[in-house]
Amino acid sequence: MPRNAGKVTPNAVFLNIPYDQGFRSLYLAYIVGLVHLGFEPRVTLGLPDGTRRLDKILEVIQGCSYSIHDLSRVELDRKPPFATPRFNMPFELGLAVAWEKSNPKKHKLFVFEAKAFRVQKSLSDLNGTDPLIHRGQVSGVMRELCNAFVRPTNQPTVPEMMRAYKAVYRHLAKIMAYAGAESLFEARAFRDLYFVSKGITEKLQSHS
Amino acid sequence: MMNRSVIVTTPIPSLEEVGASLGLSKARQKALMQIIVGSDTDRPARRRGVTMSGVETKRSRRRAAKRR
Repeated sequence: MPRNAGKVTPNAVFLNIPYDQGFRSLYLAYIVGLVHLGFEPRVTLGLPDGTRRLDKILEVIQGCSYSIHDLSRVELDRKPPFATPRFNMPFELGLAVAWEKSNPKKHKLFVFEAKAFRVQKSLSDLNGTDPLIHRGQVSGVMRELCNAFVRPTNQPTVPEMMRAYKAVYRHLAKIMAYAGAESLFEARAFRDLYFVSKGITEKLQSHS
Repeated sequence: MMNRSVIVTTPIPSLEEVGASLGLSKARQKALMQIIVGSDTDRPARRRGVTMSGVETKRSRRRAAKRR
């Protein structure tokens, strides 16, 4: 594992999640939830392919103080040409584990799952600590984010976070149109989504 | 290794700081601000379904049928 020469951003959270349409609402929940908690979500969208991509992923992990690894997509991906499991999330979790092990003060990682006890079977090397279980629900993601990241002051509540989520969700079509994006899982759409989430969150907080 | 909870004390960045860190131009920020300003954050929460305005949902179709 190469040493990180770059700066670690204290508020940055690396999001290791699947980019597929079935995960759209949870993807949005992670972004809105993290922004509401005052974090800067970072994803691997828009990174180049090939070996350079792996270097870039490592750089992103090393630049973040925290990482979230959602292992809820363990089913076979049946898209042709082959039905295969998706190895990207466990692979990137492995990278983060190695990074955290060698730099425990710089990085902390969290594992999220939809079902309790499943990770003990799918990835038994992680046995010893329970993952955070969101049950595949938006409110579950918000709840577990609040459990994972505790602010001594100004800790948002789950209903407040859900309100922000719903306000952002209502404007998804507009955000996509502004970004000229066909999918939410595009770098430009992510940036716009992050900015709008931040703005809506601030607006809600100023009202309350 | 795997964490359950951490206490966070880092300051929360402002919208301007977020815009700058994302490298969004002022014009783009202004365009996105229209969405933020126009967002009806007081609208009551819906339980299920797509809530994008103008999009037909099962519920909206059912209600329209009832009205008819």
